[in-house]
Amino acid sequence: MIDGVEGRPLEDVDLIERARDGDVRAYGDLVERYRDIAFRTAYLITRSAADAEDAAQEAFVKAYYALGRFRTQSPFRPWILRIVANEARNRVRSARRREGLVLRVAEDRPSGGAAPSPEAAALDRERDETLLAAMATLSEPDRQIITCRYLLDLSEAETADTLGIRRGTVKSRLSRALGRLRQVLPETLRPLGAAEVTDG
Amino acid sequence: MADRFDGLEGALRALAPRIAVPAAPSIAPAVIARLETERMRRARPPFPGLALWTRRRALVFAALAVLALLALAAAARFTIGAVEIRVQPTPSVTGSPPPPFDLSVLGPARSPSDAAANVRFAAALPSGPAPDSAYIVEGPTGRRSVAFAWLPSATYPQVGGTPWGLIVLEIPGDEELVLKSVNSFEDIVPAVVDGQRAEWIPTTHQLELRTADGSQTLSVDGNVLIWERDGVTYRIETALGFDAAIALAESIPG
Repeated sequence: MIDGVEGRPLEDVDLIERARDGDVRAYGDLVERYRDIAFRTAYLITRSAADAEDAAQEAFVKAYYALGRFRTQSPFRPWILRIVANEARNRVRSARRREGLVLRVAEDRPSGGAAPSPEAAALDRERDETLLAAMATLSEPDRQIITCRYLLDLSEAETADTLGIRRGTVKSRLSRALGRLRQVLPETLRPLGAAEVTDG
Repeated sequence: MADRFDGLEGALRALAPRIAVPAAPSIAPAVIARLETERMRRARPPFPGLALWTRRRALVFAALAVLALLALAAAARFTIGAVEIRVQPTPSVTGSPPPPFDLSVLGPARSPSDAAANVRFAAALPSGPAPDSAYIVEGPTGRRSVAFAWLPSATYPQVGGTPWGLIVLEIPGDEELVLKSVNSFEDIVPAVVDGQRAEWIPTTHQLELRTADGSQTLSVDGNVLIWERDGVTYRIETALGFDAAIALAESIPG
């Protein structure tokens, strides 16, 4: 890890400047900083660990050569995620069969707060499995916008940058995607979405 | 949106940490190794005789570059019937963007039956609700195409940038009436409709409409599906997703 003054980690912009000057180690630190979100993004799109690793690695290599075009006043995260998402989408188009997303086993779940009762945990799990199954029936564009916004918890602006669409389009596409998700949910979960989608 | 999908949004956010995602592999060493290998490859010729090697290398690279440019030029534009799709980055905003694709640029609205009776091919409609309006489009040589339009409904949600829920444009022959410009190949998704090659464009792009009155550049915000069957090019613009658009397209009788 390259440290700046007083041992503090360098800001993204400093690492980017150093990488532009040919400091590959500084770029390695940047890769390390964003590898988790990059891999998670690629995995949720490709639903394959091998493809996600390839996509993330290829994206970081391409991003290195594109650093000259990166505007340093902009945040690095949506920029790199857009390249990762492009690489991941390229792999989704291949004929390879995709794994479905699955839930963590209960013991692996992040801790925090009081453990739910066995009944509540079972209900949560059933709802999560139903949601995942419903998401699997959506089109790729619908699935990707829901993935970016909720599963990756990106802001609307980051979602727009990552998917390469206009910021104003995110709201409408998301609304339509949620509407379609709600339509494929079983009756018992329909109350999760309160009303029909009417706007475009 | 928050008030309409509050519960669903909350459930999706709660779902996120519960999805099993494998631990991120250590990518940095592999990335650094690749970058350093490529840098060394560029910096050091693999054998002595630098001047001769460099000249040969330059010639080979020049030949490859020409071939690559030729391939790129061919790949960067392709056609489906009367629609040409060009892959060219749209210049970033300098001046105002083109206006949205509004059917009124095609002339006065007609009844669908009147429009269908005034074209010289058998216009066909997808199954489901009947169109609310139609427009005749005259190409540069006077050949007539037809655009059918549906108002937004639960079946056809409103297409961004238009007052419509669905637009179906049917163009006979292969006179290029529509030129679409997309930013990259990423914006075009290959598809199949009734066994025919089709293209799905789910991102905002530009459209140049070449009519008898000249050409106009317009912006398109909806999802677009294009395919050709029996000499007629079909273009659907919709807010529906990929699978629903394909099903809609395949419901148009051939």
